[in-house]
Amino acid sequence: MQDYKLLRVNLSEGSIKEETIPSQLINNYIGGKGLAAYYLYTEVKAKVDPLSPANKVIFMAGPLAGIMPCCTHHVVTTKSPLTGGYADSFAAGNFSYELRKAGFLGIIIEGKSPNLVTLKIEGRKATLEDASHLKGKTITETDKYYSGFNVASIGPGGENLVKYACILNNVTGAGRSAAAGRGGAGAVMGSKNLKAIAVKSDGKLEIPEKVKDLQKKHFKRFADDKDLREFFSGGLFTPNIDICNTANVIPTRNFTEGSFEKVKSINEDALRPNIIKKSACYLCPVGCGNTVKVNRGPFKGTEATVEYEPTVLLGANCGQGDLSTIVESIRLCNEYGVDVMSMGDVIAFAMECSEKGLIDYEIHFGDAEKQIELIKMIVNREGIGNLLAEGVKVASEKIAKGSEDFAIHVKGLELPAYDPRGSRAMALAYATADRGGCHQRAWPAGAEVVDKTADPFTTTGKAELVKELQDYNAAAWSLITCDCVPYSAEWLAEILSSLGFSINEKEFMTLGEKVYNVARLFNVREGFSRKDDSMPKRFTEPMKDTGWKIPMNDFERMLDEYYEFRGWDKKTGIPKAEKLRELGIGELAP
Amino acid sequence: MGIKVNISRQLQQFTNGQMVVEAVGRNIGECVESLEAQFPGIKKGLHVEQGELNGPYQIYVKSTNSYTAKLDKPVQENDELAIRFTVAGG
Repeated sequence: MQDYKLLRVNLSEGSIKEETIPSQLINNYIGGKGLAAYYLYTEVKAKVDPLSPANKVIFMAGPLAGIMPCCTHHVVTTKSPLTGGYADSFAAGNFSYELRKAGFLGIIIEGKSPNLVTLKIEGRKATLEDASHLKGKTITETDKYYSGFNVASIGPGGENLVKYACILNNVTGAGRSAAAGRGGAGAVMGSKNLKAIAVKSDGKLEIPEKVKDLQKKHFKRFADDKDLREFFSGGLFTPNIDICNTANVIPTRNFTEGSFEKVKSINEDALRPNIIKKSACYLCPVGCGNTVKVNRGPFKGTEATVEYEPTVLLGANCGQGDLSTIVESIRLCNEYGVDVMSMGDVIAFAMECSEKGLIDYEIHFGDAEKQIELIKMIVNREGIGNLLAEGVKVASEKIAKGSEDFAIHVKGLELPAYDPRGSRAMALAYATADRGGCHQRAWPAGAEVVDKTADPFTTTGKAELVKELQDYNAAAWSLITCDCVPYSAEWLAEILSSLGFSINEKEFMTLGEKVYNVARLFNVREGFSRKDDSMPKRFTEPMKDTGWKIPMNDFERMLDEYYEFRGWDKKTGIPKAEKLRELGIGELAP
Repeated sequence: MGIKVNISRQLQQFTNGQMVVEAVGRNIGECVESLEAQFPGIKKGLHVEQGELNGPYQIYVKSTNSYTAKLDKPVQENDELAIRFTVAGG
């Protein structure tokens, strides 16, 4: 197996070192999520302030980046300023391919720079360059400044330490642009005075002949797959807008209802005529990037790449049926570098607070101008925006007066756009996701709502389903494969073996379980336990339109079963020592 | 006695809109052949090529899945299958 290298950048010292990743570590964790989780757990001490120099930001690619189709995501892993726990976020785009060509699998950022800087990697040479003149610049402005480079940068959101600030890459270059959106890694980067990482390399990846054959086989498999291409032809997961609306699980007006009366104004049929550009990552024949330009409404002319989650959370969940307002909201979040999903939930929360007279700021569901104004106030931390920049958990704790009951988050991370009252397994998936309320560790709504191949109202079999999805994804994201395309376990084991890794398909699934437990250990060390594997109180109450609710007994029973499958203590949620030993990570027990 | 098969929404075009159908077989592959005999075209819709699942579908037995492209996993009379479109996000 070849050597894999990473860059260790200490911003306090201004030092940059190249390291070879020990081969045993590579074989145990492969790359991506696995390797980054290991480094975070072993290198960041317990209880450090996420916005202090003691925290680290880890960018990690996978060994398949630039080699296999649909494998160019990278992960950004850190201790979250939003949750205080483990956070990783995956971004599409070609940043990881460029990084791999430059000779690196990952970058570990430590310390804090005295002034705003950019890490510039040109060929094999890495330097820290003053970026003071880029202070306050948007993502597009920064990206353009480093024209010719593949740039991952923060905007004013990250600089102003908005707790759900994100990192976007490749917004002006060819191909797909995307965000490492969730958990506030952009704020951690901002706290370190790191504006951007810009990478350019003329290097070539050495691809063994056998691997080239596998590359061709899987490229053809995806290219020939009309179902996949059709599913993503109108936007990333946008067919789910109608599907979820019909199933009454589309979050509407801060998760009070599950269907939106103006859905026809924001669904895929409404979006499709506005598509002006399609984009794909390197070596991807599917192409899920769809940019729309909306030519009517109060913000006519606005453009953004659309996906299911932001369209729903900044749309239906804010009672917003005007497409131009939704697209303008997405555009602003992307320019300022803040997470579109958290922003949607934060605004919806503020709207409900306002309508109940709990805050001194007037904004109503469906108010287009105020929605745009509030995004700007949050990014600039003006007025009520300063509190809302902390996320709904902290904001609700400060506002109090019962607002905690409708602050929609798990562990501090605002929830995605599936109401679990019509998809019970999603409640468990959110509760047990390693980074807080997340749908990408496990997405059982795919079975319960989109496919309709599982009963959405029963808890039977759901614990096992959620665990399996989490383990598969944790393994796949260690390689890193895209979550839009399917690779079977034996194909991935075959590909890894041909690159010199020692792994079979059974070990592949164990890899996922191991990685998921490392992330869990990080959270346990920070003080998280069963009490935090919870759901917002709102989900125990009836939805206004359907009357559905989740009885706590059902939820607790699922959680008990889940812990049993996991080998975690039922009382505390802490992985048992024998489970850790079985996974070969006994030495990591806190 | 047949084995209950839950059909992915996208594949219900082959089953005349039926969400749940029955198949017979000792393993997943034989169940797929049984489905094809009842609902011609579903095998192609499932992207079964050279004995492997090549497309975006996975077949779950009870609630579990081995994330395998192979079709040789054994099934028993009381098992329930689910054919699912398995992209992982949303």
